[in-house]
Amino acid sequence: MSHSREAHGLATAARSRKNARVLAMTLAIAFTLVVGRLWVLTMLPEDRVLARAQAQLHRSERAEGRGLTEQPGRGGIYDRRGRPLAVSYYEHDLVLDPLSMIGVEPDKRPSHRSEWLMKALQRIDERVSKVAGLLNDAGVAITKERLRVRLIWSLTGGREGGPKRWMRVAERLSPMEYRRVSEALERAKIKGFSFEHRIRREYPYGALCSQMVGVIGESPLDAPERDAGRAGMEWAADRAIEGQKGRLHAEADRLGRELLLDLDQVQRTRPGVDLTLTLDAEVQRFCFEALAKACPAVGASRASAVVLSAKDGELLAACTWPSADPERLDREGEIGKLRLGALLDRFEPGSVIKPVFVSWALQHGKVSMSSVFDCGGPDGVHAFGPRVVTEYIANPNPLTTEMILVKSSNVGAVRIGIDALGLDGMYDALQAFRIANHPALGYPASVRGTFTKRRDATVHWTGISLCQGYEIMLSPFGLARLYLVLARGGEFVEPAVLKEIRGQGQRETTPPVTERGRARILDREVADSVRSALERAVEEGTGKSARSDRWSVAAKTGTPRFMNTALYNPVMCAMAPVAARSPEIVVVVQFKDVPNRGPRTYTGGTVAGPVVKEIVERTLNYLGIPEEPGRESKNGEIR
Amino acid sequence: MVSRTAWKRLRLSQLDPAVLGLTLLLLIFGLTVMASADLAGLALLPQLRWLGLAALSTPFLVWVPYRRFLKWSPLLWGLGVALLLAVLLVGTAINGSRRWLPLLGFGFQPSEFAKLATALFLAHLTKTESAYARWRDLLVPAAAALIPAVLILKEPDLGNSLLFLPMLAVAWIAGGIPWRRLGTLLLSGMILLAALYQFGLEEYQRERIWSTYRLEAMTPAQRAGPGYQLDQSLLAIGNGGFWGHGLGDGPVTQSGRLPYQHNDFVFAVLAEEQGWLGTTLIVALQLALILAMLRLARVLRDHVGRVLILLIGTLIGTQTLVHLGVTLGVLPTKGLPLPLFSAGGTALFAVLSGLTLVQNVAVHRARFPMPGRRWRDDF
Repeated sequence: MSHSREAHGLATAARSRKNARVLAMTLAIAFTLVVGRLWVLTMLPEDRVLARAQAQLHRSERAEGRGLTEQPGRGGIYDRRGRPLAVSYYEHDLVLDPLSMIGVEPDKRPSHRSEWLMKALQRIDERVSKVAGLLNDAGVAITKERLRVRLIWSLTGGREGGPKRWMRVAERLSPMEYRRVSEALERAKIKGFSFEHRIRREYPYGALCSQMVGVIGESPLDAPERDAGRAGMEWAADRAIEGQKGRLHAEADRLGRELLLDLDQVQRTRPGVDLTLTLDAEVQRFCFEALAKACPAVGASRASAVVLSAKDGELLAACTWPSADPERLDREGEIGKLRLGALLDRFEPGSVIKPVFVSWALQHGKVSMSSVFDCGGPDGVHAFGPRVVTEYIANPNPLTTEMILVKSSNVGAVRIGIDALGLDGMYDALQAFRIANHPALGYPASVRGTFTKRRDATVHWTGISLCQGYEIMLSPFGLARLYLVLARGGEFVEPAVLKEIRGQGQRETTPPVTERGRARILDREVADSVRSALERAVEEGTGKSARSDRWSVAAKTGTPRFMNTALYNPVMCAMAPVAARSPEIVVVVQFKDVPNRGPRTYTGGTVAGPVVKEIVERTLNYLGIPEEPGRESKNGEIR
Repeated sequence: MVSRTAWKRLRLSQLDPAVLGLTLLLLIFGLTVMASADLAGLALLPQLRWLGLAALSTPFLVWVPYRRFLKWSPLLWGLGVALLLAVLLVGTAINGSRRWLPLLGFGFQPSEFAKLATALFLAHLTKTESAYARWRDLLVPAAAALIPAVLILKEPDLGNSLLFLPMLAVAWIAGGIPWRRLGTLLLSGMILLAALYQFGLEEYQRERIWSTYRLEAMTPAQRAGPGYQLDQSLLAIGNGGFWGHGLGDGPVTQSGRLPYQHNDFVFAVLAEEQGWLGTTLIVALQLALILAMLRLARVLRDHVGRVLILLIGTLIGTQTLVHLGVTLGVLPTKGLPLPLFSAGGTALFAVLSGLTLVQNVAVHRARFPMPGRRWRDDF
C-alpha cells in the first residue's frame, strides 16, 4: 500500500516538474522577446526620435553643473498629474570669427588689399572642405559651397567695408549636437568657432493653457539677456522659477585683474524651482473645446469657463476663448488673447446671484422654503415704488421660495431681497460671502468683486438692482467661489491654484483646506435645501439644457443685459453630482456680448447650459466618478 | 511559537544561494536606478524604511515553517480582503485611485499584501496533483483569486487586479486541471474580455488602449495627451543606445518630462542611462531569479511547497513582464511597479517577503517526506 502511494507520489512529482519546465520556457521566451524589442528600440531608433530626445535635455544641462556663475535654468511648470505645461532647455548657436579661422589678419593698406584678398581666398579654399566636412559629421547641415560663399562675403561685408568678425553658422543646436560639435572642433584644433547659449522655453499645451501658465519675454527693464515672466504664473512666480545667478566675491589688483579671494564666498548658481499647479490639463482641454465649439455658434465675442474641485477648493481649469498660442505672439491681436477673462474680467452676474440672497434669508429665518410670494400675477409685472420689475415668463400663481429659484422669478427675488432682508441685509449677505475680498489664489491681478454701496443708496434703486444681480461686478471665478460655498454645505474655503513648489531637495505644498480661510457661512441644512432647489431648476426649471442623463446637476442660469445694448452676457453656475452625495465639482460658464437673434436665443439656459453639460459629463467621467443609477434619459429610459 | 528543537533543526545552509544572491544583486541595482529616477529625492528614504522593515521581518518569515503559514493562509487571505474593503471605504485617494491606507505614518497598499496572501491561500488549496480534477473543485480557488481581484479593480487598479489571473491558472495547472477544461476556461475568459472591451469601456478608455499601438500616427497634441507617458518612455529608451548615457545623465528622464518615472516607468530610466547592454543584463538577472526559483521548485519533494514557489515566481515574473511590456509600448499603459526597482514601499516589502518565503521552503524542505507519505506536524 505504502509502496503504491509512493509510486503515485513520484509520478505526480514528475508531472509537476514538467509543469515547472513549461512555465520556465514560457517565461524565457517572453523575456527573450522583451530583449528583442529593446534591441529594436535602442539600436535601430529613427533619427527624429533621437533629435526629439536631445532637444528635451534641459535640467541635466542646467547651469548648476556648467559653471559657478552661469545663468540658471528656469524651473518647469507642471499640472496636477505631472504633465509639463512649461519647460526649459538650452539651445546653442555656433558662431565664427572668419578671420581667426582662416588665420589671416586684415591688411588695411589700400595698396595691399587685393593681395590680402587673394591670400584670404586661397586660405578659404584650403580649409573650407575640411571645416564643412567636420561640421557635417557632427550634425550641422551646411554645404561646402554655402560655407565658402558666406566666408567670402564676410571678408567684405563688415562695417566700413572691412571684414566681418562675427558670423552665425548654425542656429538652435540641441545639447547633444552642441556637445558633438564642440568636441569635434576641439579635436581638430580649428580656431575661430565659439558658441552662444540661450535657454528656450517650450509650452507643450500651447493655447490650451497659455493664459493660466503665461509666457516669458524680454523686457527693457531687466538685464538684456534676461527673459522674465510676462503673464500668468510665469509672471507671478518669476523670481522663484528663474533661480538665482551665481556670484564670485573677488577683489581686483591694481592692474584691474580679478583675484578670487575665498572659494567659500562663491555664491553658486541656484536653478529655479518647479511649480505644480492644481490645474488638470485634460479638464482644461474639455473646457476649451466646449467653448471653442459654442462661442462662434452663438456669436459671442468671448467666453470663459472655471472648474473648481468642491472637495478641496482646488482650481481644476480656468480658460477663456479665444486664447493665444505662445509660439505665435507676434501675430496681430494675439497678445490680447493672453488675458484670462475667467479671472480678470468682471461683469454683472444677473440671476445667478439670487441663491446668495435666498440662502442668507433662509439662514436668518426671514423666509422658509415654503413661504409663498405673489410674483406679479398674469401680467408678470410688479411696481416696487418708483420701479417696475418684470418677469421673463409671467407666473399667474404665487410662488414658494423654492419655485422662485426654480423659475428664476425676478419679482419673487426682489420681494425676498427688499421685504425680507432689506438693503442692510443684502449688504451683510454680500460681505459674508466675501464677494469684495481679494481672492488669495496666487494668480496675478485676479480681481475681487464689487457692489454699489453708497450713503445715498435706496432700497428701491440699489436694492432692487442688487436682487436681480445688477450693480454687482464679479468674475466667473468669483462666481465659482460663491457656489463653492453651496457645494461644500455652507462652508467657505479659499480656492488655490498652486499645489506644490519643488526645489533642490525641498518641497512645499499648498496648505490644506483648514488653513485656507475656512469659515462657515451657512448651516448645512440651508445649503442643502438651496442645492435641492437648484437641482429642481435643472430638472424642470430654467436650467433644463444642463440636465445630464448620467449625473444629477444643480445649476442656476443668468441672462444679464450689458448696459442698454441688445447684447447679453449669459451665464450658468453648476454643481455636480448632487443627488445622494456631496458635489465633486463646481462649474461656471459665462459668455460675453451674445446678440439677441430671437426669443430665448441668448439666455443662460440656451447658451451656457449645453456647454456646462458637456464640461460636467466629460470631467466627471475623467475623474472616475461613478454614474448615478436610476437617472431617466430624455426618451424616458431609466439608466 | 517556534520550539527549541525547531531552532536547532533549522539549517541555514539549505538557503538557496542563487535566489539569495540574485535578490541582493537586483536589490542593489534597483535602489541605485530608483535613486537616479527620483528627481525630487523624496522616494528613496521611504523605500529604505520599508527595506529596513523587510529586513526585520526576515527572521520570522524564514524560521516559521511555511506549512504553518499555509495553515494560516485562509486567515491571512481574509485579512487581505478585509483590508481591500477598508481601502475602498476609508482609503486615501491619489490621482483618482483609492489604493492606500495610512499605517504608522507610512502609506500602506493592501493590494500588495492581498497578492501574497492569495498566493499562500491558493497553494494551501492545491493540496495534491489532482486537487482540481472535477469542475466543482475549480470554484474555491477561482473565488480565492477573483474576489481580491475584483476589489482591487474597484480601486481602480486594473494592472494589479490582472495579476491574479495567471496565478489562478498556474494553481489550476498544478492542481491537475485537464488541459481541455483549461482551454475552455481560457476561451470563455477571452470572450468575456472582448465583450467587456466592446460594451463595458467608454470611448476614451478604448482610445487610451489603442493609443499604445497608434503612437506614430498621433498629432503632437495627442502625443501631449493620452499618449504622453508612452511617447516619453519610448523616447528615453531609444535615446539610450547601446551603452546608455550613464547613471543620472539621461537627458529625457533627468529633465523630469516622464511622469511617475521612479515607479511606473523606472525601466525607461534604466534603458536611457544604462543602454541596451545594461538593460539586457538586468532583464537577464530578473529571468535568472525566476528560473532559480523554478529550479528550486523542480527539486522539491513537497507538492504544496512547490506550488507556493511556482505561484510566487509567477507573480514576480508576470509583474516584471507587464512592466516591461508597458514601458516598451507592447501593452497598454498601466501603472505597475517593476519588482525590486520601482519606488513603492509596500510593493518592495511584498516582493521581498515573497522571496523570503521561497527561502523558507528551501530551508525547511528536508523536513518533509517523499510525496504521497503523510506529513506530520511535529513543531
